[in-house]
Amino acid sequence: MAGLEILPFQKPARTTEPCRSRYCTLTKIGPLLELRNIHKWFERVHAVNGVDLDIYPGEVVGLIGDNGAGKSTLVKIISGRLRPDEGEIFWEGHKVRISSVQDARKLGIETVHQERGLVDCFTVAKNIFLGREPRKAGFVRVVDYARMRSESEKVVSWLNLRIRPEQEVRFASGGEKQGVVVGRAMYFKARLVVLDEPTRALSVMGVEKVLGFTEALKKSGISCLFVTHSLGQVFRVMDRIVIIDRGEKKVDLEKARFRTVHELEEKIFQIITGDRR
Amino acid sequence: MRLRAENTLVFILDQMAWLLVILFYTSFAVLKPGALLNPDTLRFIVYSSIPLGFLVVAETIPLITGNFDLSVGQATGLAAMASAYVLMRNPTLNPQLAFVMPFAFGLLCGTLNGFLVGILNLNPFLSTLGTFLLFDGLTLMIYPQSIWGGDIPRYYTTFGGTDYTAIIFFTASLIVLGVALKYTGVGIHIYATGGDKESAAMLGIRTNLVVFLAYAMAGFFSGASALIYTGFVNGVPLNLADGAIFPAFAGAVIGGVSLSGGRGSVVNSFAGCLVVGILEAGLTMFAISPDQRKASTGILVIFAILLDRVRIKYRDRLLRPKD
Repeated sequence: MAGLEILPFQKPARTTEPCRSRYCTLTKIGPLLELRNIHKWFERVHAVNGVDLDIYPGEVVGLIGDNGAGKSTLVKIISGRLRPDEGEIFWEGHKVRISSVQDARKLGIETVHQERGLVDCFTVAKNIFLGREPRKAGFVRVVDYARMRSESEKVVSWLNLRIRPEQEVRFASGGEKQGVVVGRAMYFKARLVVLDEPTRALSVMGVEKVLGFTEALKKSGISCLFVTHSLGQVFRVMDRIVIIDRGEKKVDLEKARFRTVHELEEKIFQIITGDRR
Repeated sequence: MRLRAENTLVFILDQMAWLLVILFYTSFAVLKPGALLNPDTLRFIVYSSIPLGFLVVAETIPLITGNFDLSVGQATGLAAMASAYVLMRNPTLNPQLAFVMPFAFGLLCGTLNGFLVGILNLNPFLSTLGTFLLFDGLTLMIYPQSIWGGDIPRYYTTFGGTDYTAIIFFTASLIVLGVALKYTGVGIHIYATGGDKESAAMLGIRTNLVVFLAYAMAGFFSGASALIYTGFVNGVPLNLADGAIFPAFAGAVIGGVSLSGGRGSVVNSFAGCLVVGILEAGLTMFAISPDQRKASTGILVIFAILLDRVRIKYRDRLLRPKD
């Protein structure tokens, strides 16, 4: 795919300090993305305070926190909309600097956001290929609308979207719109999809749809960071849950250890209240 | 089957400006068949719309990106004056170079606007107001009088002064530009920038550059307008294309360009310009005075905005998924 280019990775900085990435170059298994000791201040507010976060290939991580807990700041740092004041980011074990949304996209990080990412007056097909339009061969490489249309047909069917490729995005519901962005991430083979509060202001049907998209992403081996307020919503699809509160990571648990959401909730309650019974 | 009927309806709604052209022309033709059905008259209406047509096209491109350009008329005046002045001083200038000149001067004006609005992110209204005054002043600084056709080489004025060459040149430009806006990446990005600048930027489109380019293109077509104007009036009067910005806006609006960006087409904008031209010509044939013609054009613009609103509403209803 001509669309996806991965930047030549920056070599780990040659310092006296050993590289702190947990990525193992021999077995090739290790976190896809690693955040190490990330700090971010907004004037005197310590919005993110020393957060470590690993996301493994194909893993769905639920990132949960209240408003103002620092989760959206963290998401902005991952998606390239903010620079951390301190801390390191590793991508497949290589230290990287994500200083713009384009940098993130070049690594393979796509962000799904309710208000951004789609041009409302464009069709679904045009939106999927915006910025990476397929061209016809020839002297003047004109945009190949037919190809765009047929490829979008595929994307729409992967995710069972009701909206057609030739329809304008503004007619789609909130959930479907995010489906278009998820479909785009899948088509261009993103490695990590950050779903930034995808369930906010959605109906039960809409939430169900978004969870379905997440499962589809996972099935195609794409890692997800699912940001939300509510634990109950993500429990079904996630593999790991990370809770941050007042800028600090409080909880990082594998879901496999818990059978129901209640068990998990109890454990979280224990951790947060410091009750170790 | 129903879908096909709907698609046809949407297509017709998208060509509303051309329907208005036909409507106005036929109604004037019915009222005064002798004058308007004459092919010479029709040709003259089209020909006389072309200098303004280039300006409408120039205005439409920044409008699509969600910006606008108050200075296109003044850029035309400056490009025409600067080129004519150089030709007056050096009548033996290489003709190829002579024809490149108005485009180059126009492009220079457009580049300045593009730099201010696109690269420096200044408010488009204020910065093009500034360049409007700047270009106006520069025109007078270059030569504070009118230059008449006799003072510049014949070949230069014949190009715009012959109806066929002007019409062919304009049609070709319109086709090339229309295709470029629809079928090239840059064209799509111009629309995307107007539709949702932030999202477009997120998708890796360099919106600043796109806006810069849109203004540069506007400047280029102002230059084209300058060349045709010079031939059309056979010379460069001091107030050439003065106030032409208003009919240019009117044409674009009648043609269905959205002032908030992302919607519109250069071909339909020209149709809007033709509607104004036909109305003017038709009213002239009924010996209506210029002030009354101006007032009628004003009413037409308001009517067109209202009609456009109804059109969008109806079009949306057709396009909305039915389930």
